[in-house]
Amino acid sequence: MLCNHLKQLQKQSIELIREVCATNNYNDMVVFYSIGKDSSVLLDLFKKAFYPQSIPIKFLHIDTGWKFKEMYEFRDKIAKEIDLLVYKNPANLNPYTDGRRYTDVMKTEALKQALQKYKFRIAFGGGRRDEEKSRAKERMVSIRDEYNRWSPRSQNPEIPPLYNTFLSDKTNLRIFPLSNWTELDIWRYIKSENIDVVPLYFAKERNVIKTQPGMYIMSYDKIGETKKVRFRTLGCYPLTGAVESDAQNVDDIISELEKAQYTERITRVIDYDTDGSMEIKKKEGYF
Amino acid sequence: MEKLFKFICCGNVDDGKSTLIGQLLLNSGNVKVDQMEDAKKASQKNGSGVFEPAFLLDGLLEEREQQITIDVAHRFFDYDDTRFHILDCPGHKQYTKNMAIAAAEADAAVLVIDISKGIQEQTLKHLDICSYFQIEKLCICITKCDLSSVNGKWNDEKILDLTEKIKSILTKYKFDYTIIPVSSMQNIGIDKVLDKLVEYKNTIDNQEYENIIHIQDCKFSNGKRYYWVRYNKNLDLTKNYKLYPENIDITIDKLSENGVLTIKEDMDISRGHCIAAGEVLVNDLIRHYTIWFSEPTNDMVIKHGTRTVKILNYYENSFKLQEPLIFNNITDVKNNGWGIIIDNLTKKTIGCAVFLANENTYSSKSNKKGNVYWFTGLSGAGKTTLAKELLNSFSLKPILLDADDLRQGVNSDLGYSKEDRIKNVDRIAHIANLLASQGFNVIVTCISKEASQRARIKELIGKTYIEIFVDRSIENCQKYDTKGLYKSINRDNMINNYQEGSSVSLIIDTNNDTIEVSKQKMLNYLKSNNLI
Ligand SMILES: Nc1nc2c(ncn2[C@@H]2O[C@H](COP(=O)(O)OP(=O)(O)OP(=O)(O)O)[C@@H](O)[C@H]2O)c(=O)[nH]1
Ligand SMILES: [Mg+2]
Repeated sequence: MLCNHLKQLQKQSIELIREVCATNNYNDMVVFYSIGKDSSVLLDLFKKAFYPQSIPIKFLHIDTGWKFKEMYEFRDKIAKEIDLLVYKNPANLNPYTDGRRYTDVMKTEALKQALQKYKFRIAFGGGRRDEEKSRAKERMVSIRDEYNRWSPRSQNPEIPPLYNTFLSDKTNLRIFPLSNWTELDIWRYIKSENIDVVPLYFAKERNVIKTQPGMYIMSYDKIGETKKVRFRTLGCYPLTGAVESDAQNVDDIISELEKAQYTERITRVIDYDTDGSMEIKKKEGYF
Repeated sequence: MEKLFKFICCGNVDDGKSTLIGQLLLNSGNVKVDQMEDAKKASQKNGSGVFEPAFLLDGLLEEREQQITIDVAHRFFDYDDTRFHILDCPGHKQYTKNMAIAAAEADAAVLVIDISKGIQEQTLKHLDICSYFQIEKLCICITKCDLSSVNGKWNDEKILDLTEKIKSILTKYKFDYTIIPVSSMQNIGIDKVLDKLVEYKNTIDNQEYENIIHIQDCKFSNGKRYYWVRYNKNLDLTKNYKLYPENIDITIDKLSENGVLTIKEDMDISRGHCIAAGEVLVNDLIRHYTIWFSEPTNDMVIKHGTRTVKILNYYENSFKLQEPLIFNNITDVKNNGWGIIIDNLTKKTIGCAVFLANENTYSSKSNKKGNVYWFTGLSGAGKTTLAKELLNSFSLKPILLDADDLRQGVNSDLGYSKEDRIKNVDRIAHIANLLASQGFNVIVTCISKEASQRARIKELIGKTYIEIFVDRSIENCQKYDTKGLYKSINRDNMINNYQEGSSVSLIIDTNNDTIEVSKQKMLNYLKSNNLI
């Protein structure tokens, strides 16, 4: 059974999804699917929003070529249920040698290329306000300019549940149905709705390399050590940190998070290089 | 969590909103190590180096550089089986729109007032906005009390003084409020604020019913219609529902957990329809109060429920729409009492309209006690002329009670003896007070020359009594005696000297000033006292 506040969050998310769908063309819309836990919840909400019909909207995965092997397996399984597009920037940069440019080109640029290629103007994403300080300032219906750039100052005044879901000639939209969910909410919901997630979220003995105290990255080679770790977020494996953990199931994760000292952001190299790096990426067109 | 509770933190720029919320997050154990490190780094980089809790909220680069909140920050924490949703608002005038949208969502408000700055224009503006959006619970924090310290002790006198001022301002409103002096820097009083918020959230009733369903879309499955719907509070499905705008009975078959509705009748219902039990209004002419985020344009639509309707004619306090909306007065059903105004060309949201009572009726449940503008002065001094000039300066037209008119009816049994004149004035005061108590603004024009009587009326009506003395000498009144009053024997004793008194708020000198100048003086007074 869902607790009361999760019911309300679920209702808010579904109402937003439907409002966008009822006021726009399905062909203009896409759901950004990142294979992570938030995407799993978002997918579940889309299923519920359209039930008993199937989801008439395409999903899109921006591949970098450097995702965890377990993520690809999971994605291929999900692809049987939904209409999933996969796009990869042909530039094919490398996270080890291309540094910051890797993320810009393989994620932000790739996303923009894909939106342009398929002429998508409205993109749903699993972003949450509690993830990061600039996301805490984000709207549920976020305006992007024709080049998909975010500008905090030109956002619409937004008063839920009356969303302005209309497109103009000069704007695109990003929709964040999970805005008001916390990391804990995601897991509580996964538990009660029995939602499938990538096994990397659960602690297991894995072959890892230590990067800093308490933080590890996955090693698919012979090098490294064996540690019982899990991932709080999933992205490109060379840029995503694992933490030591004993949480082997969803219940364990929930109790671990109730005591957590750090936010999930610390496991993401991309957001952690400079002050405001997420904000800058959003301004460039990232989710 | 059992409940969801949203509150805003508002108040004038720099009065310490973000700092207070930052401290509150710290005290309630809701700041993670990395968030703390990030805020400390920002304090070093952008501030004096002293840790600024405000950086826990002000997350945009521009906000950090300028040390000002630009947009609302949303933060969440769980406490006492409740999800708290904080909306930390900007205080700067330029970003009032961001504050207003947050207020529209909120269940309660924390309003901060810097002890050394006191009540500012923005403080009053925010109070008004909270009131428009029917926020009932208000926790007022007198902030930065440490800065008032004398010999290391808070300046109690100063705190008391400001407390009195706040109380006097708040008689105009109907908030359930409390005043807490705090220092976020010394971490004093913040826990009391949290306690108060817990108390407020306990008054939130999760079991409230609103029985209004907006149809988002009509869908088909196996040849059967079903509907996507949007509703706010709980629905009591045992009630009798009607379909609007048609106003016909309808039977709800089932509403699934995911908001899928089926109805018994075979009817063609589409987006924009509304199904409700209980009263809703259907009208294409709506009285409103609108908070504009940018200038009104020539091509606007209003979105409410699931309808988006073109605005044909827009007036300051009403608009005519191409099709009716299905709504309630904001005072009756908050969630069904407002809409957003969108520019049709750019699709930008340019305003938020709060729906007031239909047509020319005022609502009896208004949040504020109305003001009584009491025009006093000799016959022929220009009271009625000036009162009429003032009538149109309000977003909601006030009620005019002219003593001469009342003498034609209610007071027609009274003559001009001293006794009768006193009675005459008392009756007018009584009516004015009754109307004001129900939220109406009232303009009275009445000679009422006894100072002691006006003092009594001021006491009766209270803080919303505003006395405007229209000062013109007897000689001038006689000279311009257009009504011939001073020649009338009956009214002979009216030319007795007018008694000036201490109850007066504003004096208008019609011996020297033209109507235009006098009007301007009145408007300046109203504006500077935030009455319009
Ligand atoms: N001494 C002292 N300074 C305080 C206190 N609270 C806030 N300040 C200072 O007041 C300044 C403004 O604080 P903020 O919290 O950013 O103010 P704000 O109301 O959020 O400002 P805006 O959101 O931009 O309107 C900062 O420099 C704080 O350090 C306090 O209790 N004592
Ligand atoms: Mg602030």
